[in-house]
Amino acid sequence: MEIDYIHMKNFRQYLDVSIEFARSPSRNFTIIQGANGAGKTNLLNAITWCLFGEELHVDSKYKGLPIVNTTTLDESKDDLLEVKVEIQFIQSDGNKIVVTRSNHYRKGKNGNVIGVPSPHALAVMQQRGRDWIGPIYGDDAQYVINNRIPPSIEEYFFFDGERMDHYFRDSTGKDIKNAVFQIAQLELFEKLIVHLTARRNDFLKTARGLSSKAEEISGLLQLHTRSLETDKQVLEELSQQKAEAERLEKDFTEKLKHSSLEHIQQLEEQRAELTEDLSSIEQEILEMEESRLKLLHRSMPIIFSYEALLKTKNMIDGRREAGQIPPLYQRIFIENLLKKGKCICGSDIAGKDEYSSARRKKVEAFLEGTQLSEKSNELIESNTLIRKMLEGVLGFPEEVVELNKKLKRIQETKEDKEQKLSKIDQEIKQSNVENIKLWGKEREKYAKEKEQLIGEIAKQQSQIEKRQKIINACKSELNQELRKETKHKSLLDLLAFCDEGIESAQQVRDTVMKKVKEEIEKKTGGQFLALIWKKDTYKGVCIDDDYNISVPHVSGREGLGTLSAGERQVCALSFMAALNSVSGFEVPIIIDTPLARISSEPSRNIARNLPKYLQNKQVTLLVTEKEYTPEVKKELSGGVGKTYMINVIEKERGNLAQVELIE
Amino acid sequence: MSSVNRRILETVEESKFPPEIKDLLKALLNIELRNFQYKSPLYGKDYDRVIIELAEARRRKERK
Repeated sequence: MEIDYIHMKNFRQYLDVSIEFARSPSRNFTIIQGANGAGKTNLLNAITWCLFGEELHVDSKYKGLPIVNTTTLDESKDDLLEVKVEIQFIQSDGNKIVVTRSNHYRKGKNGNVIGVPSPHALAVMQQRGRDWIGPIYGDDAQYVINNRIPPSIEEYFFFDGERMDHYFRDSTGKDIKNAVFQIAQLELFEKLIVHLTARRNDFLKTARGLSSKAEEISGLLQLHTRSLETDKQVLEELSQQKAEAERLEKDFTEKLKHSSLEHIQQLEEQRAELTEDLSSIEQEILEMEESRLKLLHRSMPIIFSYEALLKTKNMIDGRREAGQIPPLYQRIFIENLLKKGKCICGSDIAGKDEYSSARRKKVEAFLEGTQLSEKSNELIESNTLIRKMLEGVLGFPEEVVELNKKLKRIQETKEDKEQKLSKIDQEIKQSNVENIKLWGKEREKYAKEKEQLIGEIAKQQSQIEKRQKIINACKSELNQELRKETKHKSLLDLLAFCDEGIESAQQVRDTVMKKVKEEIEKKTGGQFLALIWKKDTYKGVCIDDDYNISVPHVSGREGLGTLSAGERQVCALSFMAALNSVSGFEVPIIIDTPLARISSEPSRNIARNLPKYLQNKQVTLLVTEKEYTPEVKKELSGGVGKTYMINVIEKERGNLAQVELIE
Repeated sequence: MSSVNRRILETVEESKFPPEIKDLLKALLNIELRNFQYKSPLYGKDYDRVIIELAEARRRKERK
């Protein structure tokens, strides 16, 4: 979906202005150039006001001011003045959508501006081939818009370049993950799974003729399913609270890090290093404890049965030394001799005479000696195994002592670093500067809150696991009960079909989630490294499963916190471009002041690469003269379809803006 | 939002699920897409229609 045109009437400094946007596939960039304060951000706001009824990127100087152009309202002879913004979109199938939002204003007795509600403030017209549908108004119209551009993800398509460097600082992994879920439409799966589970349970609830036991299990199943939903909601709330505590802890750390006091800055630097060290030490401790556990799991059963194993081994060895294992001859061999009636030497042992009987008895006596023959191979193998087991634990005491020693050493290092950290925190909290003291205390408060929430989240997760097990058991028991009667065959089939659907939906969701994350990570990293000017400084961009973003430095240290504002802007720009590439929404991109914080050479680099990264997307850049240098213009020129200049007309009671097509 | 994300549909198609399950997922995703802005499910009947139809199709196939 692309913007064809926007028309603004009496909207702030735009009295009667129309802008057509570039829509050619090879030249899909529109440049709107204007000085600071000319009205670039208000153009972005005109778009969000038209679509969502709100100015989502409002400057502090315009906050609270009416959107109507007050000069025109003062000069107007009519009682009411209409503010109107109309946007025409063209969808990928060629059909158009026209969105119009208007509002009326009048002057109050004391000169104030009063908004007059309009019944048809929002109208949408939709084209279907040769026909037009609508206009539709109000909630129905808003529904059509929100289905195409959900307001919650608006900021990933219409964004302010100046704010971008705050993006990773202000957003938690959770926020980013939610955005990715919405943009990539993974949210559809979440809803599908919940709704399919609900339908499944409804089929069961409304089924007739169930036995009393089936009714009872079904009731239990409904109860636990509902409780599971509540448990999941609680988990979600706890996760949000944890994310918020984490964000606030980070915020206060940033404040302290950027404090004007050199001493505090130094302390914060030391603190950051200690925190990072502690995090790797904790990881190391976890790994060592795991190795120790594995060693114990492997060795303990042998140690507990050491005596018995040793006795068995000695017994087998004794028998072996006595020549009983393996036996001198196999039982089957003696049995064959007896069956054939001939001894190995050829003498008859089947005869009834005295000599034959005596020989037969001697041969039969050998049978006793073969009692262990069938077990001999097993005994030989077991003995080898027992010997290996016993040898395997011989080094156990030394191994466990060595591991414990290492663990102790590392724990001492950890305690030492924790003490240093605590000393720094104490020093900050006891600072003579009020703000520093307060920020230090607040940081500690949120850090504690975060730790507590981590514990609660773990408990909740375990509760959910338990509940899920109960649900599975109920389902299986219910299936058994339903199978007893043939009349329930259709119901069973239906339930099994729903279960298969739910499981498949979960699998597809997980696969797509993985694919999307990998693609975003790869593209953000690739684009960041291509755009960044200090190319040998960073390894790339990493995104973990919770969508926490990190930028590892070549030295291995985390670099996100040390990126300059310009570098952070490039990182955010790369991330936004990557996000757009996995988007399930066809929404045009509008960036206000995209290069504001970036110096000239990197700007050229970005201008050269941006069309490549935002391929097949309609892009509008709102730029200042300082950003749109001849070099940037030259680099972008191949992709630019239309260039406008916002001219400021100075008026006594506020400036007006005129937009002129210059190229 | 006029169509389900290409990546999602490709993953459903590439999966080894039986055809009725693939059809179920695609149909339900489209229902969710059409009702994207509704928080509570007002479209239970659409779900029931799709589920019953496809479960029946599978049963017929199994009988053959």
